[in-house]
Amino acid sequence: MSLRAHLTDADVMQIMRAFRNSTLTSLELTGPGAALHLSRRRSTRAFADELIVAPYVGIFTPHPDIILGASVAPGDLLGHIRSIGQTVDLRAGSPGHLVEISVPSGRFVEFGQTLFTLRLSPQAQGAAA
Amino acid sequence: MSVTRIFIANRGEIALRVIRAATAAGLETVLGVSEADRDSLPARMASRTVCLGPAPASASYLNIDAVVTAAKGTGCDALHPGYGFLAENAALADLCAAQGITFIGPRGDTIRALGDKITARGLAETAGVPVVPGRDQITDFADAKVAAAAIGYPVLLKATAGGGGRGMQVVRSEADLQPAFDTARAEARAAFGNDTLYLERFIGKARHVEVQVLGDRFGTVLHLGERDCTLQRRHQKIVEEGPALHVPAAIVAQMRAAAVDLAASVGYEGAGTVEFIYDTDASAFYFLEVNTRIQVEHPVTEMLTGVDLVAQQIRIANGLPLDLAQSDIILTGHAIECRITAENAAAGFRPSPGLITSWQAPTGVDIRLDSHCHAGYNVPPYYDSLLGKLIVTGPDRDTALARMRAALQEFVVEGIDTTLPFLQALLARSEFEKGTVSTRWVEAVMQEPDFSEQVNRGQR
Repeated sequence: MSLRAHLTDADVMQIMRAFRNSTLTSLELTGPGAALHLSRRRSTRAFADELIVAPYVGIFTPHPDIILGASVAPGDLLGHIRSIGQTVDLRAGSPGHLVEISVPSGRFVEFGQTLFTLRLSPQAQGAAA
Repeated sequence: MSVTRIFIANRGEIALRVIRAATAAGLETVLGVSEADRDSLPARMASRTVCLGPAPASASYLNIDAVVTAAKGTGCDALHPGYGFLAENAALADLCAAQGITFIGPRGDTIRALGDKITARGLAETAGVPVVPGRDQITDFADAKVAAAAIGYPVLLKATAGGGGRGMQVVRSEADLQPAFDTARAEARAAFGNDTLYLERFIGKARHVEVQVLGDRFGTVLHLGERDCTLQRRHQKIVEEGPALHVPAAIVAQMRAAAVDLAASVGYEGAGTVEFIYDTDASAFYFLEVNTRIQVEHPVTEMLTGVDLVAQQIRIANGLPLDLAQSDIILTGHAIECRITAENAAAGFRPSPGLITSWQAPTGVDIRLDSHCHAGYNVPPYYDSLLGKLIVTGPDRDTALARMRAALQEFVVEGIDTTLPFLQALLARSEFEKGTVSTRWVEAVMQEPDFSEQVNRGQR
């Protein structure tokens, strides 16, 4: 059975909506009678987020100034992770503002655990593109 | 205070082994993994998994600070180090103690004393355990000549500072001593930055026999019989079996007693192994070293005695007295263990990590397989290549060997190279059947074209 035989206009609209809400950058459906190709350009994305993850194991403490919505510049101290033998500073790598702090202060975090979500400022997004 | 949650500072089959023992004891488990092992079978079996760091062991499994921080951070009250990695690191035992975490193993000072070759030798001598006749701190040729004459040729020269065969020279007669001494010194200096040599009696035809011991906090020490680990390649054990073979019963009894004496003399707590070398020509045994950990080949002893060694480790760490007496330890039948690794024996034991596409393990009466592998498992390239340990028992050695040969034939692993063809060829040899091998036998067999051909055919 061909793709055309299967897809109505409403189906195509539904696929497009699903695509728009997904993190995919392109989608291709092909069948003997028809093909559907959807793609998005990077610049059309409204924003880009950067996850800041734990570089070490230990007790996580965010910096007192670091609250939701706070603007940060590269090199700003976001907090630290304290293990038995050392303290590791967490610093921002890009400019932006914090849209999420994933772990409460004083909680143990594992290596690679997401601590902050940084919404990149437009110039950082441009640089990233 | 009794243990409720155990942190497992290891990976692979031994992590799984400890998780199973802890779970059976009604305890929770937290497994510390590297990024490469997040989806491993032990990671799925543990009550909880914590990522310690990136794949390289130096940044994860060998990082004492990360390991103990993770154990403490996840509320563990005990830590099992398995074998390898940090298992015999006294600093880990000390840090656990300082942080109020029960280290499942001997005290830090015991690990430190027995981990040092010279101190361990001294402790053995004090406990009345025979040591290989030798002399330490040889710095000049005249000294070496006197020592060699006193000990008797052949002698072995080795670096005081090192291991792994570097700086080792076998000397058959006094005429050969000068060149060997010069070479050993130069190699020792290059490899370890220290050219102090150690000289000892060279044992040509040696069997490696080790005695399993258990000691509790109340001074009770038991032996659980011995294992023969003569089949080695470059000091890596390949096949282990028990009880000992081709060692007179009177000598075996002396070895067992010596192991208990040595362990008791240091107030040994936990499971340990006292390794001996048996000189076939001289009918004498000598102390080699103590392994202050659970060993890879511990299932051989478990199959012979019916004692769960990991469960006993946990019991001892909990401060409980051993619930076994020496008279309870009865070795029944014969057990053989083969280590199966992800290596291509025909290509110089080249490591073969990658995706296991098919894994069909043998099953049957008296077959045990300790492994973390399965079809769909990706063997990471970062660690030791052990895939699993196949342990087979029988009422006697002949039956156990026949079962092992059949089990190895039945074992099919696809996608990666394994040492199964090598093990099949090795166990088919009449020397293995007769048990007349020595610690250097495998290297000699590997040189035979027929043997290489046989291994090669078995490889993919």
